[in-house]
Amino acid sequence: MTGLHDALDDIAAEITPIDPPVELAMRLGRKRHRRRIAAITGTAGAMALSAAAVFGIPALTGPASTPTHTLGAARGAGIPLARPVLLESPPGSATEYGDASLVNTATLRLFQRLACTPVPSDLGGAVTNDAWKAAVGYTAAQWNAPEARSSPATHPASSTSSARP
Amino acid sequence: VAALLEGEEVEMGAESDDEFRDFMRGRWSAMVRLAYTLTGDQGHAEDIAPAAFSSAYSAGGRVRRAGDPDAYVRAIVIHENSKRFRKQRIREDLRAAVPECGTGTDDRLADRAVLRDALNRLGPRQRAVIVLRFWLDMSEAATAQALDCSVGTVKSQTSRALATLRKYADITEGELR
Repeated sequence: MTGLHDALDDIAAEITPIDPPVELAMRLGRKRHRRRIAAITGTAGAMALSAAAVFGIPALTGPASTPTHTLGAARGAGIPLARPVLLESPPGSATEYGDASLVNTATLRLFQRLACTPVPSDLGGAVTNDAWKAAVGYTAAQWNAPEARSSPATHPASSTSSARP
Repeated sequence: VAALLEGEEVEMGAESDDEFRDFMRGRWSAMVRLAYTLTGDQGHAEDIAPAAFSSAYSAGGRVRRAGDPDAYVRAIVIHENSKRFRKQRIREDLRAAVPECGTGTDDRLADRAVLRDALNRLGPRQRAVIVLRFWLDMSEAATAQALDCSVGTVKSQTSRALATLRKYADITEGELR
């Protein structure tokens, strides 16, 4: 047996590689690139970035120096950004914390409809929409009685299992 | 979004395309041969190599900043090979006989057939360790980094792989280098 290195050399030399599929690799690379952008920013972002490249709008090629720079550069290239916005409304308070103007209309409508708080009204919370309890016949006595929930036969909601809050 | 905005994925233009074409033409054979030694199958090797180059193309800026595009693509080839085994659970074929091809003396052909058979008995990670350590002459630390495992794992995998090679290919200590 020759040395392992030489033997592996011989094995590697057994094949004659085909011509390099350069254009295929580049096409796959562009596709992968677009998919990554789409995964991060949505399809519109990928289309906008492609369009920016076609029309000669400078692409984003360097690290942003400041958040403002980042935001400006992204807007210039038509990339929608995910905006982290903290928006909450504590129990019993009508005040919203956070900048509601940064939340899009549909999300804000959903937030206000759900009145997001984990505390139910019968335990001190003031803003939860408890209409689902009435819809399934759920009462406060059952809410505080775990044993009442242990038997499906006695559970008023068991007959309407498809009804969810 | 941060990675995207840092320009890692978006440096594509006529100049970088030409650069990539030259690079791929120059390094294609080496990467296919590396993939072949890792997989033992030319078809798989020719699947893995374009995937590795396309990954490198889509990460053009990052490859350029890494400073060693060859090492970068080699790492992708190794990773693509590991991924192939992880995802598809492909096992190497154990063949009773191997076709003889290439040139060389009868002894070398016989040696190669024996070694190939022994390599086919190794798991993908053990095989990768052998190829990286003894063919590419990578250090234990570099091998560990390339395979995304600890140096201890590289040592243990190397030890087990060599035991298998010694058993089936009759390799002595002096023949390891």
